[in-house]
Amino acid sequence: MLKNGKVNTVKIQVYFVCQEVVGDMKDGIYEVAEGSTIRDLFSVCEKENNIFIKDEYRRWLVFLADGKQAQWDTVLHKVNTVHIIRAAVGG
Amino acid sequence: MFGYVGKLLFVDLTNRTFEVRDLDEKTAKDYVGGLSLGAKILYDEMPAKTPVFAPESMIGFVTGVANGAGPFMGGRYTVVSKSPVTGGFNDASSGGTFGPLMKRAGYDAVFFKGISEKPVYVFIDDGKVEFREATHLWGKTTIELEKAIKEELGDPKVGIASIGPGGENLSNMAAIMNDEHRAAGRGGSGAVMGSKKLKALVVRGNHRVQAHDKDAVVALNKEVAEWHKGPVAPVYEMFTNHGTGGAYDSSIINGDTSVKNWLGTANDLTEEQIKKPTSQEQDKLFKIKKYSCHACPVGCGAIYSVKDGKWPIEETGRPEYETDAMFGSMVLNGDVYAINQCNFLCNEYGLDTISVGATVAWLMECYNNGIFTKEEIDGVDLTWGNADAIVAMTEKICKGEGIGKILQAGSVAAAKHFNKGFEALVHASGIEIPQHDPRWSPGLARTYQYDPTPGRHVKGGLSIHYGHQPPEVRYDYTNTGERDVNGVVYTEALYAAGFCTMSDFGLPPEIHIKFLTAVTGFEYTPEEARNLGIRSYTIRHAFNLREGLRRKDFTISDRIIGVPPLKEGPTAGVTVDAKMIADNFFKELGWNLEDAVPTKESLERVGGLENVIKDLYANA
Repeated sequence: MLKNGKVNTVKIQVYFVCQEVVGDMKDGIYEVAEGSTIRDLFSVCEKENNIFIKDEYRRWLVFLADGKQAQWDTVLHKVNTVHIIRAAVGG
Repeated sequence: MFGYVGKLLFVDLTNRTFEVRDLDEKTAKDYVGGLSLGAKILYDEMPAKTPVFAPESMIGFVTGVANGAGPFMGGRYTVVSKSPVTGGFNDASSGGTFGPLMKRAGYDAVFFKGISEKPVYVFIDDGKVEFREATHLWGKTTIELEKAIKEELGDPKVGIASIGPGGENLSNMAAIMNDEHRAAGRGGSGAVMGSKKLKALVVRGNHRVQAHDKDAVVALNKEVAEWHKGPVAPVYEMFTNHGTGGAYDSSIINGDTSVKNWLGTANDLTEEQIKKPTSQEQDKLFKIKKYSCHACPVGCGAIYSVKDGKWPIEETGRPEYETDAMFGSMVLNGDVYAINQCNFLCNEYGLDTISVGATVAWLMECYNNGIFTKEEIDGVDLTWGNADAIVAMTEKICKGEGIGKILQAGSVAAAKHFNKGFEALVHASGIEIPQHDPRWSPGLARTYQYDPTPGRHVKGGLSIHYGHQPPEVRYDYTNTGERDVNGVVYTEALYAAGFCTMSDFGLPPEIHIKFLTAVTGFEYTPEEARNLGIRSYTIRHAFNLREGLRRKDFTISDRIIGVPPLKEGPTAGVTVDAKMIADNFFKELGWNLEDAVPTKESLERVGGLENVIKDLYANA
């Protein structure tokens, strides 16, 4: 948090590779508070796209933060890019 | 017995004789069907250490008890034989309609031995067995063959499991094809059929199996339908609309799909190369209709028509995920026309797309590293990503032309033939590895290396899904045994019953045992259900033990377990402790760690393995 009470924010490029789960959520730059988690980022994406994903469907999403495996609770520290992708299911 | 025809057919192709035997209830309950019953029969009937192409060598087509008995997603049959690739047990399953049609023809399983003097196909017409000359059909591709047989019999609805020229040429990569686009693809069972001069098994009939409790089957099917609308809805949607290739792009990005013969990462591919082969994109170009296997509400199949480009195809099956990856990311190719042509050629000639694609990738790495010159590979410029060259080499393999004649034996045999390129081989006990990466989901290392049918992503264990565990879980190798064995227990019973591989998301957990009881009337306590899975795994493994194979004989290439580790990408730095995972697994089963031989006590605990105990411990 800054001295004036405002929250420092960071901009993160998000790519969705999971249309079956997130529908028409758009790739783009999303802004979140510093210290946010993937979960926080995903909430921002939901709000901005006005698309809200059922809890039971969230297990089909996995994440890469700057190319490294990440989880819902991973803190986005100095992360530029997040890929939100569908879970692998075989085949 | 409910769910079963209750009849097994044993055919001797040398003498053109056959014998019908009853399937007894104890064997049915203990081994159910599919790979499990197939392994049991092969173990009991085929002499140990029979050379794979000898007359005494057997090949069996075994239905699952769910086939034709009502359960959703229960339409798969299994082919069992010795593998010409690994020298051990082989099972390969396929969907479509053939399994249920075989039961309609009057048999739960059909086994062949002997060698026909001339090419032959066996026609089972409502229980009657007929040997029909196939000299005029020898050399035909699988789709030509299906058309010809249907015309000859005047029946467009017969079920046909056949080989193409790949099987006739005894290729280690030869598949058995049915329903034009469906393949029991892996391990070279098509070559065993070819060695017997058996071009096809053709079935039709009116026998209908009855489920013990039809109402229960209907209720369970409703549960499955609700499941598809519920927690798995997004995955269901992907599979029903786009099939297995719908996750191609995401699987490359997250590190599950191999790139550049297992040396690369998504960074080696352009955005377009990652996106275009994904089924969602291919469907826009080529899809003309979807289709389903027997009793499957998912329907992950589709028919494509490639109307333009260098390789137009009137009709072909949509490439599966594995095929997309083998002819795509593995060879740094994003040309979907090339991928479809390779898929089409493999299906037509009856070859396994996984092994063919991996063999092309092996040769490509060798060529790019100067191990082979252009002249040595028939003038084909196998530069990474050269779509024309990928198609040209695939065609050579399929047709057995030029270097393709050597490559038809697979990458390991080809390296031995040329006595070079060993460093670029990626395999498990001689068979090429499918497209799920143990560096991403480490349990696959044990599955690939030690499953009695090595190198299969569809076999049980910690599973592909384990790759979604947080790194601190999945890369902690200390405590994997119980979960690994549980995965095996689940998968073995699933396949024994004839359910689809996709049932692991498509069916609610443990419903397959309820289906089994509803269909057969056999009750399974939790302990019996567990023993059913372990027994199935054990009888397959016992086949290998009797061939003289021990733990040391099951190998896996260093590259895919991260030796050395990748330097970039989501799995950078990962080296899988494959030995510890395997130790944990064998320990959990109660087997000797040194040679992977089950202890007598562990076999007695499971039950139904008396012949195995006799073979392993009679002289002890």
